[in-house]
Amino acid sequence: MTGFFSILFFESGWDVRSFLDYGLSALKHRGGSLNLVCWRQNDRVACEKYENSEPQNLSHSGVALATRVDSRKVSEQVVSRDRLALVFDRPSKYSDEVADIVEKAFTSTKPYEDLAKHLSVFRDVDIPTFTAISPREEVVVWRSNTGLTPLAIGGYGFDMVVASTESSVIEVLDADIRKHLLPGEGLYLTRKRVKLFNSEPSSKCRLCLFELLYTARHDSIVDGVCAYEFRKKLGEKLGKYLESRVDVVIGVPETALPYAVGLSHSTGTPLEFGFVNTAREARSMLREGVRDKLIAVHLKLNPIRRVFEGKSVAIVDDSMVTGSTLKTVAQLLRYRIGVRELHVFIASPKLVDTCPYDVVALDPGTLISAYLDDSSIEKYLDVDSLHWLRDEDIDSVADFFRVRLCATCFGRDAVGESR
Amino acid sequence: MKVLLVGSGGREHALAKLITSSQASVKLYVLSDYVNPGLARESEITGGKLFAAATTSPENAVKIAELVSPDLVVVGPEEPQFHGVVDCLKERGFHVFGASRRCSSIERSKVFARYLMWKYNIPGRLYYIAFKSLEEAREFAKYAGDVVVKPARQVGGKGVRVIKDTKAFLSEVRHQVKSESIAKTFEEINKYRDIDYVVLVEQRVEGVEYTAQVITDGSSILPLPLVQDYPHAYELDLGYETGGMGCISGPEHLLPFITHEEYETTQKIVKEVLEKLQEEVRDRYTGAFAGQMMLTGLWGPTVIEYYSRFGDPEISCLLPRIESDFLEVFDRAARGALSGVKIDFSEEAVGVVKAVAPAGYPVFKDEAQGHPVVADVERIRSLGCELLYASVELRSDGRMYTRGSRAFEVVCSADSYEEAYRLSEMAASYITSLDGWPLYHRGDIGSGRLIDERVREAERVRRVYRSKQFRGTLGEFFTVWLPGRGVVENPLLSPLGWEHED
Repeated sequence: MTGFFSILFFESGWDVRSFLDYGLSALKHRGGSLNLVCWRQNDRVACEKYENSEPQNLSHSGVALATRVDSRKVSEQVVSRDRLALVFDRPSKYSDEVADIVEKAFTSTKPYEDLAKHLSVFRDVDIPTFTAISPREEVVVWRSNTGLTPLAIGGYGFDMVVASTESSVIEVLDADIRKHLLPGEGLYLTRKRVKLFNSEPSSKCRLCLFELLYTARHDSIVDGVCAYEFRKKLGEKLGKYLESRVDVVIGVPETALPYAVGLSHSTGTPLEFGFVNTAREARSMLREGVRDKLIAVHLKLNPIRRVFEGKSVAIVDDSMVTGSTLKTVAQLLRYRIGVRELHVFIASPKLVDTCPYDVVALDPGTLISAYLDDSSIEKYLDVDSLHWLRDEDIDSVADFFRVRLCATCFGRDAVGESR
Repeated sequence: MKVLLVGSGGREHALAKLITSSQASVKLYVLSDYVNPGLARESEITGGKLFAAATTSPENAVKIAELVSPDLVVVGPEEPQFHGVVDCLKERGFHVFGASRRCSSIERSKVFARYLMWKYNIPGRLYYIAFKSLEEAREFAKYAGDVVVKPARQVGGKGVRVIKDTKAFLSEVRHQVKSESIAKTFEEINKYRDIDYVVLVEQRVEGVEYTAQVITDGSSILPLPLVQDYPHAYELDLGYETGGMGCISGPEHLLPFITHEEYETTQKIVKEVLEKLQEEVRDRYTGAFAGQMMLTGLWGPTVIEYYSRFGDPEISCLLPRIESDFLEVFDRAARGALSGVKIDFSEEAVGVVKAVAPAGYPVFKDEAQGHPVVADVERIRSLGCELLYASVELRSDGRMYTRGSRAFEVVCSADSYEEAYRLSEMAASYITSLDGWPLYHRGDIGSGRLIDERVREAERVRRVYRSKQFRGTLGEFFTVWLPGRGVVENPLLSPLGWEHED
């Protein structure tokens, strides 16, 4: 899932450019190679796509939206018309129908009532979280009726509202988080009206486990849950799988660091900083091609030799998809550095299925744990032992944070509260 | 007893209800800027009358007072005080509940209010600097960082820009906004000729706001229960600053997020300010006085500004909770005889007020005015709630029209916030426009979610100020070490003294 945010300024005089620029920086970790920004330009909505440069035509506007999107998925996630720009946080086959509803609501005298009514029609269908703007400087944000992906609202003084799929965007833009929207809940915003509205949520609401496990930044708050704390707690659960003493715990940077902190705390094993990142681009799992992924892994994992040399090492990662990252790490540590023992701890259960909701792009043919048993994976990775979190561990942490999570790709319908 | 009430809005309607609910037989006269249907009705049922004329004109007030010979005059808003209405009435021998022009300087000039606190080292004061020239102010704002830009004169809560500036990478764009805001404030405030300084730049603080209102005759002070006002126009505390979209109070004298100790500290601040104010302006303070406070990490109870009158809608929130004869309190305050008087409140009850405004308020007032509206008074009363008329006027066609500001207030009270909230939401739904123009109110005021949020926020700042208290650094914040120059304390505090503007 890529991310988006939208902004409305109540007061004039604000230059939207810096807000879009820094907001997009706070979404970089979610992948997507293309920046897309939309704003009001006279009596229409204008959009511009760009990669490494800056938007050329962006002008002063009281409303704007921005997203980073995979270049191959623009047509499934973005609807750009003269009277509206609408962005989903993941591909949707209903993009045109939803855009029609929103465009019509923009011309209505009671837009929030129309939106609540017409979006309720999709009660039994998964519609992604979206935001839209109009030339009348209206903004609509709506959280997926299945609640799979989050949406937070922030306020900056008396001047600005920012809504984002990732709460750290709100904090980066110096605003304060005011609400995490519920599944099917939306907010209609203009300078003259601000109105929350509710459409019928799906009967099967749950948040994507991957959001808390991997996608969100460590500093993000997802539905009131601190991503870092959630991860650390899962890491603590890994402690019971440590069979013999190890000298050091290392997290695969940067997403696995909180899990490593948790494992270190629960076992009393020293935590070390093991790698230095050479590149500062999107995460390796979110890279589009195999070669690109490998380049990203190699660039981000330059080891600090003295930390590993001759030691028994517990290496922690958040999940294992193809196993290629851990294979690279294992080879590096075993053959180039010379570790004594290498034990792998994965802070999630086995990924065995694709994501039917397109929240996470998983190719079922490449999921290592769907095809190989543990001893084969150990052999492939060339490690001394391999440990996964079990279903009951995830259930217990999800219950602790009182969240209900979708775990379809882990082979379960839901984990956590009232599953 | 004949009473003349000066003022036009929801606050005055609340005062009218307090006056007419007295044990005494009351004849209420009202001087109002327009025919507020609520005030017209309150005066008519007592056999009095509403006079529609400018409330800021001392001549109007004197003329009507001489016509009706009231035993007591109650002046509600601040602008008549600034224009000397209270002074002119007192000079002619009328007993008046309301601050004199000199006493109301505490609200009229924010620079004076800040100066007073610094001169007498009163706790809860903020660092500030004041400007007379646009260029100086703009230049200063470039380097000021995390500040609030305010008009130095009270202009109905308008013009305050809170420019939070805690991210250097966004500072440049904020400099630009600060600069434009200062220019706009100069333009706005130049319409008034009654103050010297024009712009006040002060330290920005974060925390939980609340209002501490008192009644005084100049020596005795009667504190009223604390009230929390909600200034943002829209739900989730989003959007423009308004005069207040609603408020909550109770139980007892506190709010769910203010401790007894913080209440006591607040009352000490208010008492000290009232004493020093009277010393400074050499006049006796008679009437209502309020501290718009914020619980901050800097001080704990901190003063944001003062009102030389009751807050609007803060006083409305106390309306259902007041058990004493308030007219007697007003009368004794005006006669300097408050000593020994006690005000009784229903201790267990809580109050929730919601303002209902036409879409367009507070910025697009032209669009928000002139819409016919109707309130189902009977249904609102059947809930046990009160309806207060604010910025609505009765026209010759017998219909009520919006005037562009907050049109109504619904006032509900119950033994729990949950119930008071439920009633207030129902009551607000009984107000509708007749031409389809949208009306709005904040659906979150009084809700458990918003109260819990304030409790959490108060806990956060309480940790900070208690740590400062422990280290003996309460109130200290702006200490800057400049290499080569040493430690500079309070770079914001204006070196300029306040001079009387009379």
